[in-house]
Amino acid sequence: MKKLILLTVCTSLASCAGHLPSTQKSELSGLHSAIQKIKGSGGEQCAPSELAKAEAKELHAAHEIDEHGGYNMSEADELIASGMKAVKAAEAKCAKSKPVPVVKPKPVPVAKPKRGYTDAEVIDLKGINFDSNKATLTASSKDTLNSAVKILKARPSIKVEVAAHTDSGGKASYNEYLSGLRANTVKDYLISHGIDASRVSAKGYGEAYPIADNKTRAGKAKNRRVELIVK
Amino acid sequence: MKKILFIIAMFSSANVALADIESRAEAVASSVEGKHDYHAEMARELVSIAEEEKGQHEVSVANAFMSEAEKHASIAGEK
Repeated sequence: MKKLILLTVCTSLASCAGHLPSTQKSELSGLHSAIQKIKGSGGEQCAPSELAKAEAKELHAAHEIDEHGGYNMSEADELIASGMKAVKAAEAKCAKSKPVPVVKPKPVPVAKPKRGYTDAEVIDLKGINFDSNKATLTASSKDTLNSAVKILKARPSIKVEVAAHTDSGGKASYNEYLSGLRANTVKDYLISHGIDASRVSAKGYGEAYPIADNKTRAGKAKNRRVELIVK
Repeated sequence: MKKILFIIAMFSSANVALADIESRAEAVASSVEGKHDYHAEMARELVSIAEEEKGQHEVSVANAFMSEAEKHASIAGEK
């Protein structure tokens, strides 16, 4: 009989041991730490509802522990468990809302354009010719320029730069000067045929950007050219 | 007779306190209506606890939670 009584007392003490205030305070402290951690990582913004629930459960559990002083703690246990559940939910929600780091692709080295002016859209004005060493348009050039006028009227939103080039014959400085004059001649033509001056600029590139071999006649002819660069 | 009056007074003061918590709960709920930031959510949670405590006739505890709820409600939506 004595053995039975001793066994009963021991069992009761063992079951109470799990509900001692110190154990609960440690659990409560764990909940508190978890809440502070998620608060510190922006939980108020990414999971306001879940965080508030966890914190309210913590306060309520703290009250229950203080009120009952270590006895009848099942309510506090439930509140702590519920608080931890809310913390987990907050953590999951915040993890979802965190932007996935974007790995920027390594920049692919781009070869410098041979023409020297970007890879913008270029409208090649084939058929534009000038009198030798002059900036005067030949009669045959007008058809090409009228086509250019049509293109610009059809695309009123674009601005263009008239880019004139020469072959490598003669001095580079002269070629640059001459190409500048020719570019301006084309620009004036476009403006005089109804293209708004604000949409057209002109630049002479001289012999600096050949597209063909300057050693042959055919190559030189190709290099003497006028283009419209869409801006 | 005195005892009866005392008991009635006790009941009526308890009822006033409970009614006060109810009206404060309504005020908090209305002030955080449509707000979903942390403080608004906190105010709602604390009101809920206060009402639960009120249901157990823990008036002083309910009042304490309600005060905390009101503090959060006053901050809610300010950011």
